[in-house]
Amino acid sequence: MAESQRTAIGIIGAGRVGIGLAHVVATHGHRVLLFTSLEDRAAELRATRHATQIVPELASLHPGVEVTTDPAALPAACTLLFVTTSPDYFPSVFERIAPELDGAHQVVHAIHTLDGTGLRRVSQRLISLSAIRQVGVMAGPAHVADMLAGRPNAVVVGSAYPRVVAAVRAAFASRSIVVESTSDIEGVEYAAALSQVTTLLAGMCDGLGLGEAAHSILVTRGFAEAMRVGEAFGASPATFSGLAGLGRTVDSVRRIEPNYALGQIVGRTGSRSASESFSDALGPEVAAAVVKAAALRGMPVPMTQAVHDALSGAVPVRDAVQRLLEGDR
Amino acid sequence: MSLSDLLPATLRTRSPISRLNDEREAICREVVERVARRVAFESATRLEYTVEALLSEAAHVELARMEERGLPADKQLYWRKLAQTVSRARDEDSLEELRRVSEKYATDAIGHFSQAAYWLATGLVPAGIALALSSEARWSMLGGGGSLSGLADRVRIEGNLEHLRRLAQRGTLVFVPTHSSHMDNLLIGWAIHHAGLPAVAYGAEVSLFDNPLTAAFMRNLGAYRVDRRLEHKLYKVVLTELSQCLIERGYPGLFFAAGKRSRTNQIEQQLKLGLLGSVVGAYVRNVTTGMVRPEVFVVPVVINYTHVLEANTLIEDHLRHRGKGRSIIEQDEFHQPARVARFIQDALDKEAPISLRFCNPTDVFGNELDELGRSVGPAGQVLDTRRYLWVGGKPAIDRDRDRQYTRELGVRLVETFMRNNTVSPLHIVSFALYEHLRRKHGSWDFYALFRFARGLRISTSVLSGEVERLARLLRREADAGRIRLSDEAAALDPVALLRAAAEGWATYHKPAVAELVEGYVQVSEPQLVYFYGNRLRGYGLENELAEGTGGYGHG
Repeated sequence: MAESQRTAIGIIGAGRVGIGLAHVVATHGHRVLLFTSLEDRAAELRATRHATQIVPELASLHPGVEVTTDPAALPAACTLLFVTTSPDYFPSVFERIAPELDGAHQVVHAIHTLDGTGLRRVSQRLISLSAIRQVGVMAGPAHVADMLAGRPNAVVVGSAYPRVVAAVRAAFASRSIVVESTSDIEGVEYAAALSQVTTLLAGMCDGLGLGEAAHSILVTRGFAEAMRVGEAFGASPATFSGLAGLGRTVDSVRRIEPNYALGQIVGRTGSRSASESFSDALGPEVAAAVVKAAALRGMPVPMTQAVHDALSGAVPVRDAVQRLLEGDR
Repeated sequence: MSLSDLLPATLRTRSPISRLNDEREAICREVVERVARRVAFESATRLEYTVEALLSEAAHVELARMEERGLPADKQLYWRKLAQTVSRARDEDSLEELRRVSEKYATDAIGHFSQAAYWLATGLVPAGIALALSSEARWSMLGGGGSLSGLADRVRIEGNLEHLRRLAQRGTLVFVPTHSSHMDNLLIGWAIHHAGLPAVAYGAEVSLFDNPLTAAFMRNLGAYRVDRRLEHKLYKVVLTELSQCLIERGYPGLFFAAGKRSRTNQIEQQLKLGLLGSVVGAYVRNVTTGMVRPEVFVVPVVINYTHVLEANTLIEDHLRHRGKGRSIIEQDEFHQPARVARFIQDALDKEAPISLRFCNPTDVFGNELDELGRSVGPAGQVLDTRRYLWVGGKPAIDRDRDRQYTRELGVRLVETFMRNNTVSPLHIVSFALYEHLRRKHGSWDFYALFRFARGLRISTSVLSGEVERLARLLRREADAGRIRLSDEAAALDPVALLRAAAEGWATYHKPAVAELVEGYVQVSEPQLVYFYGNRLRGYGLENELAEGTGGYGHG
């Protein structure tokens, strides 16, 4: 296909973020191709133009959004693609699209997780699975509901490629959605992933009813620990004080943030089974990866360890969190 | 008429180096133009790249160096005047001065390019290098019985050379070797020739040209002069533009990945992005100017030594300057004929003490290449690499983007080096020994360890235990393709490893690095134990080893 025709914007993954983003980008006057590997989801979206279960606040999906289940459709029609799948779906979905991608494609993801004992970032996986190089990450306390309602919102795009940042801005930056940027993609990826662990911890603390001082102490220490881990893996600490790090950490006071909500239930009930119903909360898997990676490097991570211990059942949640707040005796 | 005109066309095209004599003036002119353009571009956003800042820095570095060398005041006149006048000169005069200085640097680098280089390239003289290698007369002055030709026989060249020879027909090869020793200069040149690959043009340290033992050699390799003591931006810009210019014109290139010898013996983790950028830049420019055969192929090379000729000097330099940036060593073992002779003699007594491993070549974006030199993606799909340069439907230069492509290429090169690093028993046991000492004496700081560990004894049974645990981890790493084991180390039998390492400690180094004495290992040169062990650093093995059971999830 000729380059002039590659003007559509691709969105991979028709979950809450994917559908919300597709609608917002289409509202900005772009043709949008929304890919999902779920035939049912595609059929529902095509037929009803909304997804009541996932994005109830969306009355009708913008007509500029075309829903497809053909993996080859996006690379042929788009230069800029967003990946918004859940980490579980990511490898299988991306594997189908990857062979069609080449050096001209720009891929920005919003999957805030880390992989393996090397705490591999999603952008590294994008590059190793495909021929693309121009990658970016999008993060921040961007709330789909606020975005759809046109309330003030901001995201940060991390990319070492200025053209990728420019493309994202052109896709949906507006008076209500501020798009900040940094070339420190590592920083945004680590900050966005690691801050979820802090948010989880804050939820546990509040669920246990340990009080506001304890909440502040744990959030502060958790933030410092996240920054230290990120720095050890090459992120710039300064990036942690931006939207992806501090922005998401401050989000921990918001009751519907999935990590916070999960932490709160675990803290209140002591039950660990809640994590299954919070698939959006990536804090648990990030904590597990960080604990392993830190052990291999001899790096102490008491905050993350406590979260992981509580979620894995190694230590009762009250003991795990309380221990962090005890002084020397 | 030049000598190359006398040759049949087929011979003349063997390596483009044969053209360098004819083209060098044009190249110098082009470099000057490009430096001027580049400075105009960079100075728009970076104050330190204004003409005035560059010239002033150049003058001060030159003067400092001249004073260091004790040159008389009249030799310093030009630079002194420049330093004094540059701040109030008119812009057009400064630009003219910048061109003059750039031309001088470019001419210094390639202006003395020797005839011998293209004799080798045209194949008229049966391999200048082979000549030098076999020249007993030249090398007998080293004393001892060893000759470099003997050493060359013991060097193992590995890799898919057939593939590389085919690629040489389809694009411009740029070799990027790891760098441990000045010996690399001789070995890589010889290996490239021996493998039937085209002779390269590359920047080598000026001190190698001043050394009578190597001067002829260096010229034969197609080397041009680089003076690393000229630590200023303008000189670096000239060299980068020169490198890019040569690659664009189809001259096969070579530069050492980190620009200097590894001080610690660890595989390079930080590469010289300036020179690497010239490789990416050359491809980008070739494509944007519509060149017929724009391809540039990157060939990582890992040079694996058991012993390193300059081990003592390198590690001492590291300990002295740790954390204080770089230093330039002007005199070391390479300039001591007796040491070179001993190194060669000891190497001759061993089987394959040195290997040069030509790793899988890639395009400038790090993609693998098929037999036809086409880039191939991870799924096996053939790629149109011009699309990496796409801006609004056509290829274009974008310096920010290309800088990032360069970083990505650097990351891939480091990964390739790590995977192709071949460790021998000397490295393995030294690593286990050093890590044991470090843990056992946790209260000693880095330097105390080297002072106090001299003369320490460790029971061989304790060390065997450490080696055995390390061997288990190495087996896993080697099976996963993350590191390679030398033939001698392949079985990973702790007893054999220890025996071979003891032999290694006593070879070449006097006194021995460490010795086996009645059930003990006695350490004499802890800093060399550290140096040789460092070949295993960067794989995260030390923390797993410290856990005692083989590490997380493997215990």
